[in-house]
Parts: sequence; structure tokens; C-alpha cells
Amino acid sequence: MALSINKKKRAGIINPMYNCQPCGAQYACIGIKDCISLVHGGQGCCTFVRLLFAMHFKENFDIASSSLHEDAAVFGGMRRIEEGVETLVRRHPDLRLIPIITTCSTETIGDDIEGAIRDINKKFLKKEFPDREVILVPVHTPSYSGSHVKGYDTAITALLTKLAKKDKPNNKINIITGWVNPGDVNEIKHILKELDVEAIILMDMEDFDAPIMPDKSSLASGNTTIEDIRDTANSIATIALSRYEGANGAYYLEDNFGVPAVVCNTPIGIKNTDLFIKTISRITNKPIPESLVRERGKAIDAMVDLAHMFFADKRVAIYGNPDLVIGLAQFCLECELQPVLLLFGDDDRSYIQDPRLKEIEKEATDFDIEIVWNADLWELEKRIKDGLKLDLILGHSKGRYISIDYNIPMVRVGFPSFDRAGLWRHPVIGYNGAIWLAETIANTIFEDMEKKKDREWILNVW
Amino acid sequence: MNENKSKYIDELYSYIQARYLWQFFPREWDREANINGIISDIINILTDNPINFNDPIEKYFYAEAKVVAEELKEKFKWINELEKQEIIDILNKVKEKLIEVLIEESQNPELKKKSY
Amino acid sequence: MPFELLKCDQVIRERMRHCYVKAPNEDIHKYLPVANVATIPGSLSERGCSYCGAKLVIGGAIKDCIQMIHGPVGCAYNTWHTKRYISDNDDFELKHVCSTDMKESHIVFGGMPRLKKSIIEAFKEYPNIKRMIVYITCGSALIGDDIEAVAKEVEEELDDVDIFCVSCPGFAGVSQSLGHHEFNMEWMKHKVGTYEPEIWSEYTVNIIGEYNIQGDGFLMEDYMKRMGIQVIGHFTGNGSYDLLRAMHRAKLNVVICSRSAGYIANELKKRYGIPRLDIDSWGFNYIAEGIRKIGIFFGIEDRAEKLIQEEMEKWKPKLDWYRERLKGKKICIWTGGPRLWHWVKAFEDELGMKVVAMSCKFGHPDDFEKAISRGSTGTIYIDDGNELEFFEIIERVKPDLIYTGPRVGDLVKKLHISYLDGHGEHNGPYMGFEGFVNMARDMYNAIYSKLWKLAKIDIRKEDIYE
Repeated sequence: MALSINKKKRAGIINPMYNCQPCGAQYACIGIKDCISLVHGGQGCCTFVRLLFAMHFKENFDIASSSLHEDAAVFGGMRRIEEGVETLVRRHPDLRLIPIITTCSTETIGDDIEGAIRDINKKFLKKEFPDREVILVPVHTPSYSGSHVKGYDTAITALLTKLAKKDKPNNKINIITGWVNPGDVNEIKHILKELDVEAIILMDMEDFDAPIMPDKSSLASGNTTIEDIRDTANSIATIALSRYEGANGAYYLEDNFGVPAVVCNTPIGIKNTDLFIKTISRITNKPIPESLVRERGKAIDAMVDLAHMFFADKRVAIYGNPDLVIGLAQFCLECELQPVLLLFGDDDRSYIQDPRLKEIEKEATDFDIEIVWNADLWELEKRIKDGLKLDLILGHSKGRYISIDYNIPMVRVGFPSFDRAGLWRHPVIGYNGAIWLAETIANTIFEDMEKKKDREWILNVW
Repeated sequence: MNENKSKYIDELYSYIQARYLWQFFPREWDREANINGIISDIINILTDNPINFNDPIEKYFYAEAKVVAEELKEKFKWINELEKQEIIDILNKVKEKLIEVLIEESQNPELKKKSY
Repeated sequence: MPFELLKCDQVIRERMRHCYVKAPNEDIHKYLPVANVATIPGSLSERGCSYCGAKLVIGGAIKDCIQMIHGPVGCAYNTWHTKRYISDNDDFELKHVCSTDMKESHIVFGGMPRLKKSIIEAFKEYPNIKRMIVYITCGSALIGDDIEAVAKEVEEELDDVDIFCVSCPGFAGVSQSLGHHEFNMEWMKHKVGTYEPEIWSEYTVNIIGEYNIQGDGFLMEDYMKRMGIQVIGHFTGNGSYDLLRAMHRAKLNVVICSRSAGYIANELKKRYGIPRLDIDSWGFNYIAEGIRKIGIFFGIEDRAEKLIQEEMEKWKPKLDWYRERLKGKKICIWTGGPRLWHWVKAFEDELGMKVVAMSCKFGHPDDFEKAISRGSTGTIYIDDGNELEFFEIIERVKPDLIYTGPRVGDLVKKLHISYLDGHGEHNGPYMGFEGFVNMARDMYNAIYSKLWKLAKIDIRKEDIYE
């Protein structure tokens, strides 16, 4: 039926849905091995993002701050960058990559990051560490433009720009995952393994799930190496799983190294996963194994159990990163959930021009969909206050009080999910992601039925 | 008693320094006022002298001092054996030491700032 | 050498004056670490920013006003859902934050119209709230937005709204600390004395520097209530904007966190002659002492003793049970500043534990004067400790438990060491008699967790369960 697109009318934000650019850049960079970003700005831009990551992953990630103080705000922060790099390089012998991530303060005062990097390379690094490779990457992410979505995208492109280097073909494909969880990365690796395809994954977050080892040796870290990023220039193709987080990186590789870029629908749900797998198969000429067909069948089986019995006619609101929201909406439509309200949290107009929205409109035959962009969480809360009936919310944990105070069951998806345990371990991508989504949504609804004594006896036998 | 005097001074000083917070206010004039006012009241309490409060600040000094005096008597039983003048002497020396360590020779650069 | 250059600091030698190991017969006028100075870039310091000191720590705990952050969205986003300061106003302060969402055009052309619009919108969306705090941030500060001028305009246009402005951007100062200072001084200058409270008791206090984390403040308020003492301003836990404007009417200022809010207590003494009483609120001996002093001040010692006795009877047996099992255990305290000196003797004297290393994020020299005076010899005292220093200290002191933030806790668990949240508490409240038992319980459960035994086992070895 009808799809209406509305921009938040208020100028200000009440209860923000998205974070600012530097957060996105930091998220991209923690996926790299032997890498410590230097966030060039006030200490809060670094420390609170580190806290946010820790809340989500229950792990510590090393990110440094240039600790901009008042003198630098007046006279410029170049010296702080130099000191920051010197301190990092001298104290961390294994460090090889330092993305220098700007913030609103340092973009406003106009620090010449590229100039600082040239200087540091010429003087400090050449003189004091002539035999050591330390690469500095400028990442321009002012917080007064875009959001963490753009920051992630910018960082990916910045890293590729600095590092990708033509060499002999590697017979691999590049996968740019977009803003996902380690569970999604594992799922992607699983699919690739089934297809017998080798890939360079940006970013490989598998080891964010760091174990406690008997010898105390393990710490959470990224797995993507500088060599991996360099080698992306030599792959067969790049598949970007997110239009807004990393696709520009794929285009960069295409434009500069002739590595064809394919921007896939984020593989959430059956059809999107099908398309993803078929894309890999087509690009690499690898056949699709029965194992994936069976896996697909298991997912459909799990969804069949739930769709017309429990999901049909259930009205869902979805908020979060744009590809995630769109992918989840498509998944919902596959199993009879009604995504009646979708919210995007910044003013990027391209979200509402996304071709997938046309497909969603076509698929939603029995109900209207409202899309709100440049939204904040108050847009969701107000609609509920004004009478919007919802049976489910899919979104990140900063909307938790809406679920709690208005008594609407909520499945935490996306980032951050700090008020539940271990969600980052699970995929929303792939057939296994579809199973996790379906069953988690079902169990959440079941608990809500029991809490509200709403036909809870139905669960005795279904 | 004389040979024990410096031991007593040290014991009381160490105890006070490690236990209370009134001697650590952030500016030297506040430290001085607190140390003078409170030690003075402690002496009066321990020597059974009456105390008058003329304003809330003096009432505050008394509140701090009363607790200290009780705790000192509890912890350092030898106080009960001392003559009044000895108590006065010892506590004045404790006060001097507090002022020396916490004000005059303190390495805290913020003590001398003019504003809060 | 009392100041020690840790191995990981060989290349940043200035760290030596920030790291002190106490030896016998050393006193604080001879050796005092440097504190509250510029951070070393790239050191992986734990420090946050000044705006956070103003908003996240102090302003954000006030339960009945709108928090309006003038800047790009991140400052608001990152200081929302990161605290556990509850209130009796349905936790409104936990659930809401506003941002002017400054964009490039505002940075270029100025953000004041945007601020004004956002403020008016927010008052419209929350029609029952007539109070607001507006914070400047790095972006809005750098372009010179005059938030006070905007606030004044709005106050003139809207009925009965009152707005407080804090101009402390993230790059000001060296840590959260300047934000505390700014908030205190500005509140004193512009708001204290502008509201007259209803007084129902002849005994009135302000509770200052207490943020009602997990209900700590509720406990303090309850103790006051049981003594018949009226709390006028609670700065700022479960704090009410208007009652905080009435702080000039209290007869006594009870100061808990002297780092974040000693400033306003000093000013209240200077301007209104209200005495400042610093208390320790964690630990039985300390809280009893504090309650006693308040009682003596008001001439109601009997009520104070009664309260202490009731609480001791109820909670001492439980504490004793934990004390037996916590004796001799080694702790590190790596928090903001004051908890170093608030906790060290409580843990050592009352629980028989050993505090072997302490580090603070934003302490000042006076925090070190107190911490070192109260702490033991052999203990390591660090200002602005950073990550590599933490690893080296752990190697050296081998603690059984670390009080620190959740992120550092997520790091030390890999070294088989339990952490307890030293900022937001684990299972609080932690203040008062009941709270100290909660602390002891959490420490016991953390240290004796069977998981640490299991963590040590390498299943590839023989005889693992011998």
C-alpha cells in the first residue's frame, strides 16, 4: 500500500538515534590488526566512544586521543598530533598503522592533517625509526556533517586510498561488510567457506570475541592486516554489503585499480542472502553447494513455523543504521511481519532514494509504511504517545526506555546493544541470521505474551 | 612524660593527618582556619574548658573537634594521664606540624590560588 | 627514589613525577605527585573531557530539567545511557537528552538561531518542564556562540522558564575537572539565591557532591530524614533544579565529593557563611563519624547515635561475615580521584584488605595529599594512569580485584582479575551502612568466583583436576 516519507520537522534532536562521524571511523579502524587510531580532538571524542564499544562488546579497544587542550584550540593542534604519534610509536613496538581521525574541533580550527603526516614521516619516523614501517592515514570526519554512518564510510575509503596497492592478482574477492557485528563476519566467513571462496574481509572482527586464556595472552583485536588492505587492489571484485557504509570504498577500488564493484543488498533475509550468494558464485565461478541450499531450507523452515501463526499482522517499528533498517524491513516482509515505521537518524537524502524502498513498497500489499528520516528517537516515542500501535520494535539499546515505558516488546539489533548479553555474537546476516532474527523475535513476543497474560496458553502446544 | 612528648606529638599528628578531611580544604586560608579553630576546640574539650559558638563556623569547628577529641581519647589512652598544660603543649605542637606540612611546606600549587 | 619511572614510560619521562611509591617516613610535603596537568597525547589516558565533567557528572543528574547540548549530535549521544543516577521522578534524567544537532552551516554561519529554535522546540515537547541546562561544546565554543544571550531571549519570550548555561567545551582544561569547576561556579553565580524553599525543619543541610548513583543519595536522604533534618539542595543526585537554587538557605553543607563540588561549598561559605563539612560516606566508621558530626552540629547527637546504633545492629553482622573472608586480599583503585582516598582506609581498616595501587583520572594535588596520607607505604599512587602503566602495575602488585570502569574491567578480566565498577558501582548502592555491606558482598563474589580457578586450567595439560 502507501509508503510515505517524512522528514523530522523539528530542528533539534531529542534522544539521538545516531552518533557522530568520529565514532564510525573508530569502529572501522578497530577492525585492523596492529592499529591504534589517534582521535584528534577533545578527550571525550575518544574516551566515550571507547566506552560505547566496551558497552557493546564487553571488550576494551585501544584508541588514543591527541588530547586537544585550550592552547591547541587557539594555536592549532599540529603539535598534539606529532606528540600523539611519537608517544604511540615509541611505546607500542608492534604498532604499524595510525589512522588520524579528526573531530569537529580540529576540523573547525582547520588543522592540516596531511601536512602533519608529511612532517612526521619526514622528520620523526625517518630519523628515529628508519627501519620500521608505520603508516599514518588521514581520516576527515567532522561531527557536524553526516553521522557515524558516514564516518565509517569515510574511514574505509581513507584506508583504501592510503594503502591499496597494485600487485599480482590474488584470486580473492573483497568483502566490505559495512557496520556489522562479529557474528555477521563469522556468518560471511561461513558462507565463503561453503562456496570455497577466499576473501579479504574489511573488517574482520572475528577476534573481537577474545577468550580468557590460561596464559592470559588474549586481548580483543581486529584481524584485518595492512597487507590485506593493500591487496584489495588485486582482487577479482569487491562486494560491498552496505550501500552507505563502505560502498564508496568499492567504487574507489574500481576507479583506481579496475576491481569491479558490486553493491549488494545487505544480505538480511532469505532473498537478500540468495542474491549475495549468487553474486559471489557468479563472480568467482564457484558452484553453490547443497549445504547452502539445506541451510536456506532450515531458515525457511524456522520462519514457516512462526510466520502466519505469530508474525502475521504484527506491526513493527525499525530504527538504526540505514542498510540495517532496510534489510530488516525486507526480512520482515518475508515472514509476514509488518514494518509500518522505519526511521533513519541523519539527514542523508540518499537513504530515502534507496531503490530497495520501491521494492519494499511493492511487497507491502496490506498496510501503509511511514519512513521518517533525519529522525531522532523522540519521533518514535511521540508517534507511540499519539496512538501508533506497535507490536514490536527492532532497534538499538538507546531506545530501550521506549520499549520499557510503553510496554512494547523490543529485539535489540544493530549498534549498540548494551542492555542484553552477547548479541554481537549473533548474525543478522545470512540464512543463520534469518533464523536468529526469527527465533529471537518469536521468543521476545512469547515472553511479552506471558508477562501481559495475553493468550500465553497458546504456547502450550504450537 | 617529657621523653614521650615527641612520640605523643607524632602519634596524634599521624592519626589526625590520616583520619580527617578538615585539614585538607583546598585553599591555605581555609586550612589554616580549620586547623586553628578545630585544634583549639579539641584542646578546650580535652581540658574541660567551656566553648562558646558565635557563629555557624564555630559550631562546625566544635562538631569536628568533639569527634576528634572522643576518638583521640579512645585510641590514645595516655591522654587521660596527662596534665592540662601537657595536653595544651602537645596539641599546639601537633597544630604547628599540621600547618607546616599541609600549608607552609605543602607542594600543592593550588593552595595559594586566590579564587576557588 | 619515591617517584618511579615505570618501564613502559621510558620514552615519556615526564610520567615519573606522576607515579609515587610511598616509603616509610616520607611525608606529603616532601613528595607529592604532579596532578591536574596537560595530558600526554597518545598515552591511552583514561581521561574524558570538560563538557563531560559538567554534563555527564553533574548537570545530567538533575531530575526535572531538560538537558540541551549545543553542538553536533555526538556529545549528547555519548553522554546518554552511560550513568546509573536514578531519581524519584521516574528517572527522567536517565531517559532524555537534547542536542541542537549542529551542522556545517551552523559552524560557518553561527549556531545561535539553531540553539534558540531547539530550546523552544524542547520546551514545547516537554510542556510540564520549565527548566533547562544548556551546555556549550567544542564546536559551538570555537565559533563563539553566545549561549547566555540566546537563553535570555528565550526566558523573555516564554513564561516561567529558567535556563542555566554552562560554557565548558571539551577542550577546556585537561580532563573532566574543569567542567566540574565551571558548573559549580556558574551555578553559584547565576542560580543560588534565586529561589526560596519551604522550610519545615530547623535543621537544614545541602548534600553536595553526591549523585545518587544506584540510590546512594536516597540512603543519605533517608539518614537525614530519620534525624529530622531537611535536605534543601541535593547537588545534584535526585536533584531538583529549583531546590538547587535555594542552597543558600541551608545551615550546613555536607560535602561528599569534594573534587566535583567542593567549589560550590566554598563559595556558599564565602558568600553566606554556611560551614562546609566534608564527610566520607563509604565505610561504617566513616559514615558513623559523619552522621555524628552532623548531629553534634545541630545539637541532636542523640538522634545521630540512635541512627548509628540501628544501622550497626542491622548491618554489622553481615559485614563481619565478609570481613573474615576478605582479609588480606589486595585491591587496586583506579577511578576518577576522590574514591582513592574515600575508600583506602575503609577497605584496609574495616575489611583488613590491602590497597596496593591507586590511579586517578582527574585528581588534583589535594586528592593526592589525602590519598597518600590515608594510604599505606609500599602502595603505588599514580596520576592519570594509562593503559600500559596498568599492565605493568598489575604484573607487580598482583591484585585480587580492581575497582575501575567497565572498559578497563573488560581488559583486566583477560588477566584473570575481577573488576568492580568503581564509578557506577556493581550492585549498589555502596554508600552508608547498607551500601558498605553491598560493596563487601560484591568484592567477595568477585574475588571468589569459581571461574578464575577454571580460567587457569589449560586442558591440554595432564592432571588438570588433581
